[in-house]
Amino acid sequence: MGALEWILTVFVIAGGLPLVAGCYQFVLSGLHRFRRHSGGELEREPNVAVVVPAWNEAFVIGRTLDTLVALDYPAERLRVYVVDDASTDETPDVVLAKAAEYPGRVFHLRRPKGGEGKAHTLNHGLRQIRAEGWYEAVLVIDADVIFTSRSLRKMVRHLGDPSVGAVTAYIKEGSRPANYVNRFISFEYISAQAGARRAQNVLGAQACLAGGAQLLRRESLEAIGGEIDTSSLAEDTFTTFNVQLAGKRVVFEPHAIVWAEEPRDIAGLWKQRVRWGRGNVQVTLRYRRIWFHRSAGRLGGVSFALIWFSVFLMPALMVLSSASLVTLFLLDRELSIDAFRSLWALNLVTYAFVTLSAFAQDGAAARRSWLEAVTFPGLVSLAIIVCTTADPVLDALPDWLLLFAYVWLSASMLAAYLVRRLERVPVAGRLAPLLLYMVGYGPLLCAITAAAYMAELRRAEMAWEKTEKTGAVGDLA
Amino acid sequence: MGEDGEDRRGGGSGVSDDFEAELAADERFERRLFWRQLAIVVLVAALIALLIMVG
Repeated sequence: MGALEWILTVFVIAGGLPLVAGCYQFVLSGLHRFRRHSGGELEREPNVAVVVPAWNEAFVIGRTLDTLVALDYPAERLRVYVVDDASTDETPDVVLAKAAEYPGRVFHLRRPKGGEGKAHTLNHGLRQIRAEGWYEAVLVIDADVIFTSRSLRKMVRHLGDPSVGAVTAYIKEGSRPANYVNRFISFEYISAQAGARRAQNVLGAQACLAGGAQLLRRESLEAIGGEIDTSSLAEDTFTTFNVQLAGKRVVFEPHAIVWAEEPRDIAGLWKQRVRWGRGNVQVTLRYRRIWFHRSAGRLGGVSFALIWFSVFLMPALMVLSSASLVTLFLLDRELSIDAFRSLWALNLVTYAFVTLSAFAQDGAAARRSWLEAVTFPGLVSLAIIVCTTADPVLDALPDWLLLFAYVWLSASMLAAYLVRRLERVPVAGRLAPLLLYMVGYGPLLCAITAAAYMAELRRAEMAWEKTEKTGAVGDLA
Repeated sequence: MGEDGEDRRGGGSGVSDDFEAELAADERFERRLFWRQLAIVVLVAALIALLIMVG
């Protein structure tokens, strides 16, 4: 085998890096019981100021406020501040009615001019809260989330450990009735939250406080300047990194469950995730000096970088892997089949490991989304897995089908993009769910990440495009 | 109660008494998770061995 063949084979196998990182996270998450980060006892529950940014949230805000004031938490130690970002619907009326219903517990703050984005809205509330001086911790949430009764107490107890600066919760998809997109998201969150964040607890470095549940100790908020970063689309990730770089730990409490309403269609998901993806690009560039640098503490560790960059580079690795396979095919057909088989064997192992682990981490959510769990990589990819493991099948494939399988790794992203476009077409759009099951939710997320890169490259406007909320979670209560 | 055994209604306005019992249940879950993940690792290791033998 020549040098070029070696290099191409390495590039093919590089496509498996995100798979290795995915498995690594779930291996770490199994060790979570040994690293629960709940050392130290609180003498009493701290005064918690809840900040709820709201723009046209009339459908959901009343229900959210009802659940917040009913939390299993000392009533005199909990105040809720709704920061109304100049809403044009009935949000002010709903909040003012709740403020009258819960005097001294719910407050309405209104920005005269809105539309600058979530971070500016949050800062308006934070300035008010800091000026009052009553708070000992601040809880930043979204207007639609429903905290389960004891979630705040479970989060707050970590502040008994003076090394902990911030705590986040397990956000779960709560729309009912849930459609196929909701169920894919629900299953994704088991990996991305329950699994990944447990693993990050074990590593001692968290990538992101969930935007809908960020509890910050007063000293940590002051240490990062008392305000939220307004220069990016990932204000929650910036807060997370800044708290950790200021010397405090950020921890995830997997048993503090918060329900959220997530997008119900591919277009909504695309819009939301492109914003997240662009935010991650901004974080990666802004903190470029911390990667692989031990001086940045656990954030600078190799393990954390492996997890971060395996997601960040996933689309590029998929394309590199596909292109290398095709080139290898032209040079040495047999070698290309061996490299392809190795890559997809890794795919099979990862698929089995991650799916089984997800059922172990959150059986109820995984059972509810069992079809989406099984079809997460897409039916086409599952067929390829079967072909690669059934030895004679792959060797007997005609060249054109073999090349299709090689290209699919990256072409699946394009197919996912086309499904998104098709969704909005009358009549034909009804095929979108079936096509998404075929193409896979994993490739859809890869395609969205690629779209986020491109939006950042062409410096697209950083508009804060809010996900539409209908109160579907509240109806569950 | 919701499908997950989670109380979706929110509690009373004060603090309930059986919080410690719930924390203990959470700890038991984490211990079980360790054994479950270990079992899955063993199962997947067996799958890898099988793939190597077949390959």
